[in-house]
Amino acid sequence: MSETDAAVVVLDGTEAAVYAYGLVAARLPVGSERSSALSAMAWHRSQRDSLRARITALGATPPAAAAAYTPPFPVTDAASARRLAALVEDRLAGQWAGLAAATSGATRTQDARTAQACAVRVVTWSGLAPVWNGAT
Amino acid sequence: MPIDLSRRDVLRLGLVVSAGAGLAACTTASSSGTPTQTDPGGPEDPDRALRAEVGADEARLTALYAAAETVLTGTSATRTASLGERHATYRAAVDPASASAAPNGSGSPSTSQVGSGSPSASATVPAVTAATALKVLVAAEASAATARATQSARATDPELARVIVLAGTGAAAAAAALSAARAR
Repeated sequence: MSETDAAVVVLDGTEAAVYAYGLVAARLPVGSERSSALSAMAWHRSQRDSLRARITALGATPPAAAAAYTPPFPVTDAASARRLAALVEDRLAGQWAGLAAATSGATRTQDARTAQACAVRVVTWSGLAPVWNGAT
Repeated sequence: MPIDLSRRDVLRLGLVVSAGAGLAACTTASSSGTPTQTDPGGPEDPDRALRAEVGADEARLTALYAAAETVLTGTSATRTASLGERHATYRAAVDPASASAAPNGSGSPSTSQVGSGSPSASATVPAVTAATALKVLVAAEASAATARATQSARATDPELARVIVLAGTGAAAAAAALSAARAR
């Protein structure tokens, strides 16, 4: 996969994560967990902006975000909100690993670190550490 | 979470890992080998040294977990064991020939290594506590995560790079999970 194609995949996953964190924050009680969700949303927004710039720099046009993303299960309470947050972070960790593989040098190292940041948030939300991020 | 990892803590687990350097130090030491028989791509594989290096790192982590498990009990032991098993999986994915040739061997500290740099340590240091074991594991996983991000950049094969990156995400996640366990 080319770097551009891999970046588009990560961008789509990141847009989905931003949307998902809106749902997640709405279902979490006011306090540290909601603050963590909002911080994660802001972090992914920043990554999204960087990805769009990166795709443009690679000579492609970044695709627009979807109007809405359908969660794979109903998000009705705090437990399902945490599960959704863990799922999107796990997928994104795998996608960032794919992007890292499509690059080289310092860019790959940085993408790998970004993947790790997502993987750590999987633990934050689920308490679990998948063996292979993005495999589920 | 800051890690205050002393040399004595590491020695208590019976491993020669210098304080502060952790697995990264082992990475440098292991990269000089020429594991011709363990390379999936054979002598022409440009990534063979990297495969061996990462594989040796993962073997050391397996050995470190094995040492830690001797002092952990109950839920902590079960959880830690499952995290430790992952390193054999990563090793097999990165360096399958080496993993099958020496599933538990390389990376395990020998008795003579335990006291290196501190001859009296193995005889005088009291038994390690569970808290110390967890602290050492957190530091080792965090160090491995840092190392994998850097090592991935040296891979010629994109798939190998992806696997090394994912081994790094696994290490970062394990460090977070173990830190949470320490906090409980």
